[in-house]
Amino acid sequence: MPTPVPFKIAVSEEKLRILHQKLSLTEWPDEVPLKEPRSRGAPLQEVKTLVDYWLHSFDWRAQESKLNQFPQFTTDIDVDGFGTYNVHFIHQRSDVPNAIPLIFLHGWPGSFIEVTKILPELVQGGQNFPAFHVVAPSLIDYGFSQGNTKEGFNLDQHAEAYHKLMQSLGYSEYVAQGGDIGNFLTRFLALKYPESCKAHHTNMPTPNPPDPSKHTDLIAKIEAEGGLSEEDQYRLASTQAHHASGMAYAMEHMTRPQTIGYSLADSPVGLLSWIYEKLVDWTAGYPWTADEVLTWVSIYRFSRPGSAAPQRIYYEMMHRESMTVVDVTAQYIDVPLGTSHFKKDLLRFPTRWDATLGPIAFQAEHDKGGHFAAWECPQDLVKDLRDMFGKESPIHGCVAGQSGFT
Amino acid sequence: MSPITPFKISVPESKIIRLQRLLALTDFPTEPTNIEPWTRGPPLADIKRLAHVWQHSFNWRAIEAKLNELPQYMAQIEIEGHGLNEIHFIHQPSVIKSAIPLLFVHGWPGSFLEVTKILPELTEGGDEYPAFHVVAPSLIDFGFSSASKEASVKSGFNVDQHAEACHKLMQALGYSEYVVQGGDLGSAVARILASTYGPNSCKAQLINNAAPAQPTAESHPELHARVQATALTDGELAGLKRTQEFGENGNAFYRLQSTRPLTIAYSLSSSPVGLLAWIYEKLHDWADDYPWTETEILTWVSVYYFSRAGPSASLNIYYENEHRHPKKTLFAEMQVEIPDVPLGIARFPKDLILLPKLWHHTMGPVVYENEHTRGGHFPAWECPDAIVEDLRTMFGKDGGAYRCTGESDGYRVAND
Repeated sequence: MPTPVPFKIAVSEEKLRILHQKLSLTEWPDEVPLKEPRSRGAPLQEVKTLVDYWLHSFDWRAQESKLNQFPQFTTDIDVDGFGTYNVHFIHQRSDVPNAIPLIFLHGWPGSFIEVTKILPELVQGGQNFPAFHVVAPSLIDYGFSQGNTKEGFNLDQHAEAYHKLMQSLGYSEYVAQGGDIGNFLTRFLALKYPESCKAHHTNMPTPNPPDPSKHTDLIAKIEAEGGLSEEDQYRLASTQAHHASGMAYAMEHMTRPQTIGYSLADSPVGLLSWIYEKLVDWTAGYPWTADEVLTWVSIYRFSRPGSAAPQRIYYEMMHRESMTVVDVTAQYIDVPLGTSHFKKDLLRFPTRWDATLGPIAFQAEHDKGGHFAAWECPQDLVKDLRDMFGKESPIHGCVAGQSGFT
Repeated sequence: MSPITPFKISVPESKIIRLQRLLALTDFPTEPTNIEPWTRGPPLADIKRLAHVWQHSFNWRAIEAKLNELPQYMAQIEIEGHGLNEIHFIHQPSVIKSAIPLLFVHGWPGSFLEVTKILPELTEGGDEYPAFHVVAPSLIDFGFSSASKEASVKSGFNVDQHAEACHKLMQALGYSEYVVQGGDLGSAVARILASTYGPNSCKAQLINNAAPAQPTAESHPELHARVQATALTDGELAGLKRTQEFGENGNAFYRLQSTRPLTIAYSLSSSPVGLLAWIYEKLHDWADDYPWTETEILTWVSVYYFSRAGPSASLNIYYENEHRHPKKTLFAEMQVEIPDVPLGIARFPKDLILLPKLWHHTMGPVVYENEHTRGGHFPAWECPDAIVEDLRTMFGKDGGAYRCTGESDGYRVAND
């Protein structure tokens, strides 16, 4: 097994210079003033303000330094049939030797940065709550991992890579946490590597509606409890609304990732608006600072695989030859599952449907937060994970020898 | 009387310089290595080559000079609730005084350019086939027309306003009666012209993008029975497959433009290569193996890049058409039957939406129908002879819309 190589982000001066040149040449569209300012996309005044800040005040080097305070590494991982990929990751071990190995998997338009708010607390503990050894990679095609240019590199391959990453770090057993694409990845890990992935947690569970031919007990139970609640109806309605008006980005990613790739690679303000629209739409009033937004976007702008790469996984997911990704991840997978439901996430389903996904070891509903739980509500996500693996929990000690406690 | 003035395209030098600066700074993406070309978007080699030509050898001034040989004008047209707009248009009358006034309406990512190949032939004739006086505007928000203004009223600037602009333009030119040919957005404008200004002013419509409703036993009992009893032809089956393919695989641009046009607007306004890829994908995907030259592609894209309202303004209509309440959304509106305006349908095998031909009868009185063996979404460009043939036949002496504009029937008067 190759040893991980310590890594520090070091974006070239040249890249910064070109970015500034382009920003200063920005040609703006006209905005059609509207009653609902966000309904057509990221509002012009907000984007102009962000670009102005980007040009004159944003200090990438300062943000880079902040990120470099986290212990980062790269290591080579072989993916069967595809080759070797150099994967970038944060790896922070707890002082508690028996801490639970946990892999944190981001999605789009997130990155490894999403772990940084919960990392310091997750590695603490051992007395009243469990501690974790935390591994948070940049997905292949994202951040500072190598990109993939071969067709067919699907969630199966991603899961294989991150499983092997954990193995290479000596974690033969581990637990997984993810949202967005990370949600799908935790499901693939649980499905493909149940002997290693001993439990998984998602902040965006995606069950199918209970199937009368398979889930008779659950359907009866829900009936007996009065059917779908008002909150359930609201969840389904908001999911439908998202499908109707917020999914165009995904359709473009799934069908023409290279077309949008030209814009995202060439235009910093195009990339900014593509991402920023979702940072706001998918959160519940989170007070994004300009520094946060631009750091998130800069990780995409300065990413190792470039800005056409992150969209590729969507294309692959849509064109998966055997079972669809939705069906794979919505099936019952017999690995303990924890779910945390946040109020403004984009795909929201009745919480009782989670039982179709696997043995529910933990479930929490939050009346706050959105799609980026680890960023918006770090305290809540940390508490959920601590409760999920705590001494009272039915899956306490699920990772052999790594209970999280001293 | 709305003032009409001659117009010549004159893109400011600063715009050309800026274009070249931005092209020089282009960051190109990587591309998957073993994929089938065009499945995920335009190939990198194509985009790089086009960007290089655009930056180094494409001569916009020469193109501009050539276009300025066409008779172009600017009309000031007041749109109800939306103030004064300036409409750029080509107006080529025929020497045949009794020619048929024809309005030609482009779509996206097309432009007024699409009329230029058929213009000479359409204005000829008068003996064996009818001649036309041709009017081809840039839609507002496109080409060299002005940008739409959001009024303080509730409704946005959508297909109804575009139709109003076109109708008023024809009126301003003295064509109280006229016929209309349109594809893509142009076919939507044609339908609204027919429903709003027909049959008094808009006397007939030839569209090359029919998207009819399926006749039901309730809505059209006789037609429904006919449909049930008629097997689909191979062409129709292929068309349905193509329609499905488009809906599943080629429609993301529509979803984006009709839900979040501003989000993509930033890229299209600030990145020439982004704009190039966005448009070129459709020039390729929507045409029938048309051998686009670099000059053609870059001219079409430049019309968007140098457009008066900016390249992103052209997306507004997509959003507006889907948010037209309390009126219907665009496709629903296109399905509404217009019973009193003669309808002609030109069908091209590589177009995007091709539904069973009998369904066309739910749209109105079909007086002409032609199923071509080649051509796609831009027939006036790809196979100009076909559209010319359609117009000459539909409005000719044996055609279903002959004399719909009365004495201006397109034929030479005895003493002429």
